[in-house]
Amino acid sequence: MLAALSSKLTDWSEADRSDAELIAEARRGDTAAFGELASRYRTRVERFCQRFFSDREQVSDLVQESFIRAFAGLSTYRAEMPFLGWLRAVVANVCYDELRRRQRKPEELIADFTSTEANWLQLVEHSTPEEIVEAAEERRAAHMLAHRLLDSLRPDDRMVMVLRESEGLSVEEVAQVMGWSEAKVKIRAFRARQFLRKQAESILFQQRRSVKK
Amino acid sequence: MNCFNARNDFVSLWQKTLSPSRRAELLSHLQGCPSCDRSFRAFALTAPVLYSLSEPDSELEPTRSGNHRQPRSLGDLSMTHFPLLSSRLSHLVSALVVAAAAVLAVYFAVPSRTTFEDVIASDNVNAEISSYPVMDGLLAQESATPVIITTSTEVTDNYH
Repeated sequence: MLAALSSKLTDWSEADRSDAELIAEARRGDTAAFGELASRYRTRVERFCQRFFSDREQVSDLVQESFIRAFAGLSTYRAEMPFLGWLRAVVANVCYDELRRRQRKPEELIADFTSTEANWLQLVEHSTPEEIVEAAEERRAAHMLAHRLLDSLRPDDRMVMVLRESEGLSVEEVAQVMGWSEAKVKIRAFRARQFLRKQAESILFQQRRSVKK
Repeated sequence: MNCFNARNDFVSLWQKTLSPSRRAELLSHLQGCPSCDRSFRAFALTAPVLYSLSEPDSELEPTRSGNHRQPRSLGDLSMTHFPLLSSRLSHLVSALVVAAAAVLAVYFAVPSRTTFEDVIASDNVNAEISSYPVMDGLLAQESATPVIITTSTEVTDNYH
């Protein structure tokens, strides 16, 4: 009875351990503590990587790479800052490295669409805003086309778009995460938004023309 | 509602976080403003990645190897769900432990040594220098007598 109660109490206290406690244990080399920390933040990290890459296996690899880098660099973490902010900087750099490694040709106009992408474009062109919002949720084609559009951005611009637009970071915070000047962040953000708008409008224009033919 | 406010509300409309009245206002503005309507449709092309709160699970994209596992719920996760991470962390920790052991071994294997400067600085001109392991080993093979190095306190000036 006492043993059962004691084990329950241990379970409870372990489940309730704070990030700070887990980080301290991980710094002493306790991989199980770091595993618990990784489980806590896995969904957030995965979601962040999905803003850059559509291949799930690649996302999974990047999540693991991010946690490995985080574990190896735990000594650089300072307790006065939120762990999530520090972890986000690690993951952002992992994704940035991967974007640069892929060396895609940036700023190419997307010309060929799959049939599902063409259907999605038609829906965007002819449906009401409400219908578009409802339909986008479960359409893989919507995500794939958005990824292709974002892939046409240069890595720097893509980082700024995701950190500013998806993560909601301020210019100052993006500058800190990427180690850039605030002026650079502002310029990249302006340029990326302008470029994406032009790309999207030209895709919709193309779609209209192909439907007329 | 003006165009500036309408465009600021695109993200909230996409994430369904607008109040019903604000939502109705925005939709009515979009109906009457061709410029904002065009902007919204352009916005909708990148919004599924930039602003969606979740990925669509209904149609899984094929992975590179085709053996993708379904993501598990957060409460179900443990270190066993990070096999690569687990093994690489173990290797990293092992390497760190071996490196630390090697440093400690070297530190304790080399005894503290008496240098010539120490001998000369002290009054004991017949100091015994016994901390040269290699030399000690060689001498021990030839003779059991201790090695005595004597330094002279008399300085001869050869320049005059």
